[in-house]
Amino acid sequence: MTVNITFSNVSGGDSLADTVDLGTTTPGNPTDIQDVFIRHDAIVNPITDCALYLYRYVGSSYLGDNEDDNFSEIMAWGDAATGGCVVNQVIPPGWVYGDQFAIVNDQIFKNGYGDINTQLILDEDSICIGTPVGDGIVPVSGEAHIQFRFKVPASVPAGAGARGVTTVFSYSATS
Amino acid sequence: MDIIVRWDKMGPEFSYHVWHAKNPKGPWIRDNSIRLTDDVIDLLRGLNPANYYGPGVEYNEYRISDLDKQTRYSVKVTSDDRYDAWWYSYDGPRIVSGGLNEPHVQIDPDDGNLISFQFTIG
Repeated sequence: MTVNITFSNVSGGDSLADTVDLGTTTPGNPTDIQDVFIRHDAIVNPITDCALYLYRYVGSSYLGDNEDDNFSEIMAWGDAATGGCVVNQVIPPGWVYGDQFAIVNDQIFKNGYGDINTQLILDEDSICIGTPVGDGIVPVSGEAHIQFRFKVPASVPAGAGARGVTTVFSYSATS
Repeated sequence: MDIIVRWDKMGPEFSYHVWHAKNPKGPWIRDNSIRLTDDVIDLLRGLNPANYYGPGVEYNEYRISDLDKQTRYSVKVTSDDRYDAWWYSYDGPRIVSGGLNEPHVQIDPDDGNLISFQFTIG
């Protein structure tokens, strides 16, 4: 049996759009935050080896100029520690919708850290439903909750336009 | 869609990773939602790397080409640059072999494990 993954913006929700629009920001500032809840339909074994990495945009509503350039640019922001794609996998105690996770737990994708060869393991602190049993594992009937946002370096020219990238959630499953 | 399966170890510790691409030129996306069924794993475990691949072969790899969920295809499984005699046909969500031990690969035809983000710098 194929094990299916569902992403949603609320716990137990239906799905995310093909492309999540994080709105408009300005140089030196972050985008909106996107909550992502992750669950699966395996009924016997948990899914394991869960990890995230950043990739060139492969969605269907791209508004930018060049997907490869966008990916390289956003990874370079991470390399320079001036901005980039941020994921946070540690749910703070008492979290309610609208709250931003603590920035001390931010992880920023960069070359060698969250690319296809160096994936970021799903943190067990992201498990919001079910009992965490270790990093990289979402238990049966469990759910993980992480947050994404982008930080645009102040050095980027105002009016630079649309940027898009895709995150990949990789995992192993048995049925 | 094309699929590549590469395995790290043979024998009892057999482990593998899967990539897919909509175009054989790429981009290749690692996608472990595509899983080999047990009979395919058993088949691969039984291969003798020395005899099967010959010396100097760098990758342990299967490639399944020209897969399209809209149409029933016969597709060819290759190992490195060599073509095997195993022919697969696509039938709904499964690839079913007409060859040895009738192995099949189960796939999820949707890119269900991708999240794309877009934003505008104003």
